Amino acid sequence: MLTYVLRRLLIAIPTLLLISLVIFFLVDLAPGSPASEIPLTVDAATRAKILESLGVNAPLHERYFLWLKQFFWIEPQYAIDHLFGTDLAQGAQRIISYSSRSPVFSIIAERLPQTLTVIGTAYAVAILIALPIGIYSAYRQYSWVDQLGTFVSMVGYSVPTFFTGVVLIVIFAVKLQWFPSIYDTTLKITDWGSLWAQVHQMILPVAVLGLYNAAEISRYTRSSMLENLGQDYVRTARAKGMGERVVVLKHVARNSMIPVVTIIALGLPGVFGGAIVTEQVFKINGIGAALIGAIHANDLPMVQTITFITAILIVTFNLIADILYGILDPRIRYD
Amino acid sequence: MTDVVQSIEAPRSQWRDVWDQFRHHKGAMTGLFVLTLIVAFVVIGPLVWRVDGTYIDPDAAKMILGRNKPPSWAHPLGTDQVGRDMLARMMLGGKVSLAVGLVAMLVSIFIGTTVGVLSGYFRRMDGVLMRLTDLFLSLPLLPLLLVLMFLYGERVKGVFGPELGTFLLVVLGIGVTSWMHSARIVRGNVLALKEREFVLAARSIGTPSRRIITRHILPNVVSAVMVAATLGIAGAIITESVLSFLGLGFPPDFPTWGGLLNEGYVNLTTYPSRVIFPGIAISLTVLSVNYIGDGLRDALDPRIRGR
Repeated sequence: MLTYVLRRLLIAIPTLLLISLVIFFLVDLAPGSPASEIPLTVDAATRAKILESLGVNAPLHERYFLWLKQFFWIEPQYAIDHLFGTDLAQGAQRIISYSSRSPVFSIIAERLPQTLTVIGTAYAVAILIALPIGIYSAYRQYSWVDQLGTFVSMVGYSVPTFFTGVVLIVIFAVKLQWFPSIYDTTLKITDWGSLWAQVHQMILPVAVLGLYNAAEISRYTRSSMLENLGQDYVRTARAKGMGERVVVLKHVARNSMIPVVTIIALGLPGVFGGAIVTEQVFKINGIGAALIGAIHANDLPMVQTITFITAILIVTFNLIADILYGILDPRIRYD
Repeated sequence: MTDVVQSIEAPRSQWRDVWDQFRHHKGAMTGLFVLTLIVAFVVIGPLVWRVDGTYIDPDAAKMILGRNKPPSWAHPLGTDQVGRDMLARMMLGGKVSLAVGLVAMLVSIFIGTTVGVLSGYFRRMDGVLMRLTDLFLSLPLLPLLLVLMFLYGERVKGVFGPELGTFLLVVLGIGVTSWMHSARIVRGNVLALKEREFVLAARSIGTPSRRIITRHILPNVVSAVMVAATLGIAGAIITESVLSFLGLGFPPDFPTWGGLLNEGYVNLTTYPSRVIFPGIAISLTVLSVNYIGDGLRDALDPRIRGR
């Protein structure tokens, strides 16, 4: 197992390097250049100076290696400095956003908490809803609960999140006026009142993302449960005289959770993709909104960095899913 | 002896069996019915409802008076922010959305099948192609697609014109970012098929690999590909509408359902119906396509079929 983990970690490095190469070149070679963001009234000499200061005149491969070095070496140093008050980085050049001229990582650090609170809560809610529904609807296959559950999960899985978001806004924010339609990111939690306001404004986005993810997870849970419920060991367990609760929750559910857990781990990076849309609908000032803004402003370092961070998340969670699979299912041996 | 001869039924084709099974899947049949209605609305609709969805009244005063109208007999779904007929625009948009879904699916299936067959059949290419598949699966696809649409959009539009250019970019973008699952499915099937006796027989009489693939392997992976293709249409329609919703899809005078939703979103609080109609159209299409995919999967699975 340990050798397997080590090997997977070692494979992850060239994968990540290759991905960084793809992302960097795809973004950098695009026809739109940072020069197009400079107003036309700026004269040629100043324009050249601005471009020089942005560092876009260096050859492509040099900029790529500089970016890699900044990403993996200098930025972590700044992070450590920030946490422990040391001075490792000694003022080395950081990844700088073209449009705001501030370090990309500080912008990301500002935006990330908004995204994580909404996404994290939504995913947790999704899992909490999906598992009981999936287990129960498999146990009582073709009952009305199952029929309703599969229909709702099919709908939740098919209806795009921007539309569910819009419908919820129309019903709950416009007609009933129960919840705000715009997420206030400046809200600071200081007392019970502001905590309630925070929960209040999170309900709609969490409901949208939660419904979508719950649909997917409950579909997997149900089919995995169904596969296991027909197995011989279930009959054996019943024949031994075990109660239904023990059979279903201990024997079957535990075994069925193996693929579900990996689906949950694999789905997490995808949620970030979904968050781009949800943030746009509810005007949450998170990482997805930052990405969209950066794309529109031709802010290449920002786009490259955010995209690459997402790629790292995907690779990491793939790894976690694989390892979890090995730990949960002793039949799988990676030798 | 004669009894035995009489009791043999006429041979039934595989597709007949599949259809018989499919017919009993209630959700899939409903999905097929709804999808037929939607396709008819989009294809036959413009022949019946002869209003130009791109027509803006050149008389500015009339245009302003005709804006944002609620549903009426003249405009059954109302008008948009410059007085264009929403019903006609829904038909136009649906045509584009469905075409994008279909063509993007074809691109994705073509790449997926090619990669899957090559890596399943030729052992030498397996390692490289599967690493490539893994690489694509680890790419952050939605962000990259957005980047591709925005940064390369202008250039492609310049070469092919705004409409064809965006169409090509969207279709290729979605196709290139969604072939991985079908490649894996096809590879798995090819690996199993390759060891079957009929392939061995074909090889023993000296059939070249190219013909083994086209005559023996491909017809046998069709059923697996069909399910992936159906679900691929649903995915492509959703991705296109996400791109359009984020304002990175087709230009505004070239409506798609996602684009209409994006236009209506600005005036969401005052005119919610302009968002609701395209949203319902997208959702119904994707829902029915997904149900058809479910039914197909059940019908094509020999373990379930005939029960």
